Amino acid sequence: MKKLLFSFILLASLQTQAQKYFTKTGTIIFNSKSPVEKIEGVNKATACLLDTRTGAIDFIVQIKSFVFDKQLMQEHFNENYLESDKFPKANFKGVITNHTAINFTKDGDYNAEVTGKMTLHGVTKDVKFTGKISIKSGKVTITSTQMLLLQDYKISIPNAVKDKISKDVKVTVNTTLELMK
Amino acid sequence: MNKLFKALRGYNHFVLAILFTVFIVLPTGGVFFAWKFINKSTEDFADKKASQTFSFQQIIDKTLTDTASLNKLKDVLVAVNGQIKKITKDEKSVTIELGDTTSMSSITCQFDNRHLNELTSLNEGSQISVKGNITGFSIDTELGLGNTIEMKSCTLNK
Repeated sequence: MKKLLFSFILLASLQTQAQKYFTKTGTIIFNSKSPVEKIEGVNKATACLLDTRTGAIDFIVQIKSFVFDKQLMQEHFNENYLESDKFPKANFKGVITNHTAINFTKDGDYNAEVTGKMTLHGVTKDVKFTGKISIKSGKVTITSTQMLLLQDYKISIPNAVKDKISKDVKVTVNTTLELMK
Repeated sequence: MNKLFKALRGYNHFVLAILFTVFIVLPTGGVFFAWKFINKSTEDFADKKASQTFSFQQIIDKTLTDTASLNKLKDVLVAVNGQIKKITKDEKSVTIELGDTTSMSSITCQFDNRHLNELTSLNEGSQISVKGNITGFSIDTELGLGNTIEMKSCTLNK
């Protein structure tokens, strides 16, 4: 009887574990329009955890891990805009509201609706995103593109470049998660 | 143009040289250096020497025992010797995770895309020595992701 109970608990814990997918090398691209040049930062070390049972989804982003082509752009991003020494991380904690409509065990593409709280530049806001979830060969790929208004997160643009830099930024997520073993 | 030459004919060569320097050479040089400064690429660390070298275990243990010294390593070029746990790549980038299968804790290294051609022979499970700038670290007690140190502008530590 004890053996049976032990096997049941072990099986149940494995079942719970098997519903979590993760990565530490997800991609987030930060893109701002400017008439002068392309401002693009890429972070390929984004951590993400998805619990397919509850739909809970978490992203953790180190701001200094964004890579820009130009040194000056990278410095301005960290020092003048995101103030990465003061606010080193951004994160999102939310839930896929339609997760029961997604079959995570079968290959296919699904639309996903996500709500949650995003913290950026020390400001936490309730947000709602839409995106796509693709299941292929046991891996889960999340893609989404959203516009963020800089003033929502108290990110100010210096007066000297106020007219040259867009007040909103495009944030693109493209991350492939693997089963947590 | 002829009027300009006629007007300048009255000046001696010394004055003309000064005028040429002030109105042509200096502004052109200024624009050139400003353009170079604005468009300067991010630093390439391939030929730079890391200030400190750690084994994977030595540096990941700092997330448990000595976060103060880990904080001091932010923005510092360090080298780490460890095992490749995972390679994530596309046509423009390579990100390597250092670690082992016994723990979720790892170090993520975003490689400098100017040196991707040096990474063709890397395999998961093999040993590597990598250098790069530490950008931050996460201590996870909630999600089960383990502790993570992040590095960028990475190159092979030869």
